[in-house]
Amino acid sequence: MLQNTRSSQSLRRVICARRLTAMTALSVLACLMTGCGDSAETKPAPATAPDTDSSAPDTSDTASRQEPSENSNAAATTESSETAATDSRVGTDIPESNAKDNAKPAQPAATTGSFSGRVILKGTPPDLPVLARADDENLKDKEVCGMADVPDDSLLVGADSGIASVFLYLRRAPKGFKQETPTEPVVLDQKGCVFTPHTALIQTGQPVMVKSSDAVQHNVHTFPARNQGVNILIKPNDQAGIPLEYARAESEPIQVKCDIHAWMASYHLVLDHPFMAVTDEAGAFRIEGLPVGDYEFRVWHERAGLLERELAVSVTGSDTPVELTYAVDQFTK
Amino acid sequence: MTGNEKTAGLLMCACMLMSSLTLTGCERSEPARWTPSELVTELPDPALQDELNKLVTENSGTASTPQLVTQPNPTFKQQLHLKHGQAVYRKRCVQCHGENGDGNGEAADHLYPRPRDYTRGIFKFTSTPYGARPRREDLIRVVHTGVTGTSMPRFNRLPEKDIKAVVDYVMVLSQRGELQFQLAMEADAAEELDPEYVPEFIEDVVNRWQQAGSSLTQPLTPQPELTAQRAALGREAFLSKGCSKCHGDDGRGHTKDNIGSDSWGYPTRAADLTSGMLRGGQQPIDVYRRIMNGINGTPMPGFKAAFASEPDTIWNLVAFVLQTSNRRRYQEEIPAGLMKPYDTLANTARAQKANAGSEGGAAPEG
Ligand code: HEC
Ligand code: HEC
Repeated sequence: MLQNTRSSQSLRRVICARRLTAMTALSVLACLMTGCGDSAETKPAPATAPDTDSSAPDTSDTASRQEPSENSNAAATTESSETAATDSRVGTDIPESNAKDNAKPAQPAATTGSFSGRVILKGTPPDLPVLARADDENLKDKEVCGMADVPDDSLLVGADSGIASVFLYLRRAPKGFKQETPTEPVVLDQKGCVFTPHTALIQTGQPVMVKSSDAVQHNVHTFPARNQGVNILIKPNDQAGIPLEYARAESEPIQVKCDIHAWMASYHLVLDHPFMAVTDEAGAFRIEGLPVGDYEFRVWHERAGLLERELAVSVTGSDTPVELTYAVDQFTK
Repeated sequence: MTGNEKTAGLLMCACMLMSSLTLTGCERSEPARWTPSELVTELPDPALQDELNKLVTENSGTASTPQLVTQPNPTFKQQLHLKHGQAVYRKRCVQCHGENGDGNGEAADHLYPRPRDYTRGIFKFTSTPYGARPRREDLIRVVHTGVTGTSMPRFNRLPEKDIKAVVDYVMVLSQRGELQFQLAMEADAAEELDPEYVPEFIEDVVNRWQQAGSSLTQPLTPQPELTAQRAALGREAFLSKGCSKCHGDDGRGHTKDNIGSDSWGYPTRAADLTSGMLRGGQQPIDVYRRIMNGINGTPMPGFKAAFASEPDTIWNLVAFVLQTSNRRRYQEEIPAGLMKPYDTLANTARAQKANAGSEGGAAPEG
């Protein structure tokens, strides 16, 4: 839980930093496009925002116009033309009706749509030392944890600079949205003294099973803010598993640790609806079945914290993938 | 009331002669005042802060009208009881645990472990499962016996009435802190407190504390005689079932990577089981519950599931832990581990003298 307190404090710092950023003329445009400004009062005047013609999707030429300048410290830039156009409406407080009008020309018949794209790192990824070296004589439980080097999975950058393990989610279910809780369990395993998977998407009430494929003891220690934390010892090779329970939605992904092998960490996002995704090795994500409408997505990464608090996304019938780009220094501070 | 004040006066004189720790507790004569936590005062929107403070006050009262979230609209008698608890608290606990119960009393920075911060609802030495709230009986007990090996004194001479009242007041501080924490996290995340969701937060606090009352954990099997033979089996289990990975083969915890953090954000280490000072109590059932449930807010995990198919192993471990804990008492030489002892009060005091109080205080002297 501490982690949560801490991250919320550092989060506030991020936001404050962003407020300042929003003040600098350089990044005003980028902020307007990506939703890194927050409340309406702190927003720069929207006069410069290219929102006058947002119903007509731009061409990719427009997108390149929106490339950040080299030394821009903007939090992120969206490069897809359509989303860039819709994103530019962040902070200009488009009334509901107006938003609907925008959705119409795309595909009037559709009631749901999707949100997809990639998260991309700008800059050279840091060289992170391995967490546990196979040739370390003093490595704890060397026979199991030292089968191979355990790489630092806190920042995984894949092909074409895609960032893995970035969470994208709606903090609350869309108003009026109701759906049965899935009954298939989320299974969390431990293998070679690494949590697999490294990230998990869980809905409240959904069964969760913690297993172990390692011949050593692990403990699974959760640090939620709203749910009751647990700390359970898992027997070696426990394939039957131990159930976990999350009753309440959390506002950010929570950390899950093993204290015996202190390098082991994973992250669970617990929400009371299904509209969440985590990026794969290539940085790609996709959220389907979203009712047509306007949303504010959150984007979170374990090293960076909240990357976006209010990423504006318009879901229409047609899905144009977006590209979210973040500077490397957001992951190394 | 007047009788109490007289004793208070006498005590005040007595206090003057005692350590400065106690003195600070006696100097207070101004009325109690609660203040919002840092998480609240750091919220950028003052209107949201006001809204949050108002919600907390509606459910926990103010320092002059304290009230349990679990007991709205207290009767006059209940109010008097809590005010009495407050008086005891301000006399005997506030210098360590702080006016808000956040563990930030004036003496706190000089103590390791730090006085408990009640405002998260997390208590270590409970009879309830990991993560659950304590039973009222757990708190009464810990106030009665103190926490051996730490600065938490025992208050076994206090009249039963005072102990019950102060414990109920601790519960007021804890429930208020918990509600405030939950609302502050929400306000921070959402930048608002949506009236649609606010009742959930209050419900959660109420449910958690009410559930604790009926979640006493009982041993999986009845207690056998704790023979030397069982202790020997316990030692085997200690070495093979994961205990030694944190506590070290000898139970001293002097391994190089024995450092974790607790839920309050401070470093903590696997206990030195040879120190002869079991914090969670010396009774077999106390040690049993530490192993079965783990220790709330710390890296010590619960072994209930791990030992489900061999429940007697927990008793064997209890026998071993008690035997290990008593080794010093039998004048056994215990070889030094990798690190020097870190957690005794004497040690902290020594370290303090050495550092002449320049330390922030949070880090243990290792
Ligand atoms: C000299 C400082 C000091 C004073 C005075 C003091 N405490 Fe404590 N208290 C502590 C410390 C230190 C701990 C934490 C022990 C630990 O973490 O093992 C603690 C822990 C506690 C706990 C938590 C036990 C648990 O299971 O987590 C309670 C409850 C408590 N104290 C109540 C009181 C009450 C009530 C009073 C006054 C009647 C009081 N304390 C006075 C230092 C103090
Ligand atoms: C993941 C590391 C870890 C493992 C594994 C572990 N412990 Fe602990 N243990 C701790 C920590 C940390 C504490 C101290 C918690 C605190 O008070 O901050 C502790 C405390 C204890 C205590 C309480 C001591 C007291 O002062 O009352 C007992 C008893 C204990 N452990 C026994 C065991 C036994 C028996 C096992 C194996 C069945 C075990 N532990 C496994 C980390 C661990």
